[in-house]
Amino acid sequence: MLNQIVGLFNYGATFFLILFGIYIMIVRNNYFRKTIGMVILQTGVILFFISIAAKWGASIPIIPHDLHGTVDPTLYENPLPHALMLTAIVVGVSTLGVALTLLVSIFRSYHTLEEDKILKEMGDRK
Amino acid sequence: MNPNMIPALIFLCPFMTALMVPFFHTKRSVSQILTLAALAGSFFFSLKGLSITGNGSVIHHYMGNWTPPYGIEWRLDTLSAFMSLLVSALAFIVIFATGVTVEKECTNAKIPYYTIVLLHVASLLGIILTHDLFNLFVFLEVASLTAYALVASGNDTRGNVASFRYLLIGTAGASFYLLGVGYLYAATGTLNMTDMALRLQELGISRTVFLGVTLILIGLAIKMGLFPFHGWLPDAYTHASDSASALIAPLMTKVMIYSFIRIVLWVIGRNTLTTLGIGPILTVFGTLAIVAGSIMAFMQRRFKRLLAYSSISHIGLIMLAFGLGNKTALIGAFLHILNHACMKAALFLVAATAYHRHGIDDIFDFSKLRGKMPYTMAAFCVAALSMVGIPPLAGFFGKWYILVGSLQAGKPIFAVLVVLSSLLTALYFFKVIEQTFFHRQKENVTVQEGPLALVISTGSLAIGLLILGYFAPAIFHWGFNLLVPAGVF
Repeated sequence: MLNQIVGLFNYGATFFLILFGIYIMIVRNNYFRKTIGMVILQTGVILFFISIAAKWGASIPIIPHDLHGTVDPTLYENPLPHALMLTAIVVGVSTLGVALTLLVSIFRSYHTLEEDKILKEMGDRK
Repeated sequence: MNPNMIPALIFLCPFMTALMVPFFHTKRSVSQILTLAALAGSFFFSLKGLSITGNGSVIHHYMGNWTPPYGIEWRLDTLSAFMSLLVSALAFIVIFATGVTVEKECTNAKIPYYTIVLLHVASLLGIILTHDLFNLFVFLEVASLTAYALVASGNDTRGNVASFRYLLIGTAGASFYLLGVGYLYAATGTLNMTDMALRLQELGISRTVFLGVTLILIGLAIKMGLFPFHGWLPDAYTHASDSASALIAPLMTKVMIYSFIRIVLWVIGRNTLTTLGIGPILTVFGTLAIVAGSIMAFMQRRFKRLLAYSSISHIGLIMLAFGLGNKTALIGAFLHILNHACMKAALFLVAATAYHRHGIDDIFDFSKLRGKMPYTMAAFCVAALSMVGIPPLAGFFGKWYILVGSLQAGKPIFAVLVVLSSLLTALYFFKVIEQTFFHRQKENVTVQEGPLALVISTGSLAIGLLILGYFAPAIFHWGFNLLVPAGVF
């Protein structure tokens, strides 16, 4: 029972982070907050991948040099999702970089980051 | 040359040049020539790939010689050769055309415009060629990031806001896709498309697989701008610089549709598709997209915004054809992808010429263009009539085969819908044609054609539409068993 709760905790956290991120992206009016929501959403997805790699009683995926015979996969965590998530983190960081760059240039031309004001001004400039 | 290298070479031509171009970034013309050379290289290798895969054979390329399912596999079959040919050819034409407008619209010399363009096209080619779900995600994100940069590259500050909104929605879409891949990976333990298809057949449909498939499809639907998820598209196309929107609009959504179809047919498989009932859902979304997109297009004043909503309606048409679950309609959809990409490129180039030369982007000002740009407006007429689907032109044949397919599938209501979509398209394009040609105007107009490169490109696309119209039935019969092999559909 305890094992189950502990084992499912990560998935609950994933679920919460993803929904929370989407909620912020939809509800908040400020573009900077929306960006934060986007990052939370990405973090949730990364946590999901890390969680599906975890196993009870498993260790880091390094095969000892004195190993003879076959490798027992239950003794090692799955390294592939970790490797994938390194790439996904890099992608996320570049997305965040582009988002912040755009926010700087938006702020320079509109002097605000509130969506309703920006959209109103965009309508005026037409 | 070893044919196994062709998929890598198609990708590497623009990618390696993208690393070279920044050295010349102060000289835009040199960058443009390098870009054109790289795209010509891609085109050449795609053509070579198509000539090899034209008999149904498949070229595999294993990255670093790691055999699948452990390594990343790239695969060039007839469909991906067809798509990479389309992407490299259209990118070449658009880049050739927009040299002058880039100079005018991206006056900030710090923006490495051609590097971004090359990275964009390279990652689109990567999406087309890869046979690995996670690799596809990475290319999806590189293509999207460069598309955000292209949308924001112009001098118009509204482009930045449009690009930011596109970024938020696009990242949400990519996250959904990645989460879906995570579910499928948890269920099957593999990322290679062929391997995953085999294991999914053994596993059958569990809740994990169902959720994974749903998330992947929603993610890609957001990226392609299918109707309820289209919010980013009109702003991004309208406020992007004319050169950037002429590049993004024909290619990005088409490649997303391609990857949607690739994943649904090659990974999820047709049987699972029928069990999950994805087809009928797609037809519903497609119907909504056709009607809503056309109505919104009719209500627009800005020409580029009209074209953007027209894109939404035609994406709906393609997804409707795919959802019908009939092979004639499916090949018709591929034909329409080809035609629609050419037509949209031509129309956006016309928009670029009109704005660049005469500062006109409102369709009620198009009457001022009468007689001023005879060649450009002739090309516009050809492209617009082709969008409507007037018979000798290319646009007719895509719609015709979709119509025939819906009749074969025993769903005549969708045949009516295809005709209706043609009528709706006619409604908003004839509005522009009427403004241009049937309004009284003072005499003595002097001809002020657009820049030569733009006229040549727009004209060659219009002639290309005529030629495509002539060869469309031949392409259809050639592609019927090649584009989608019998085992897949």
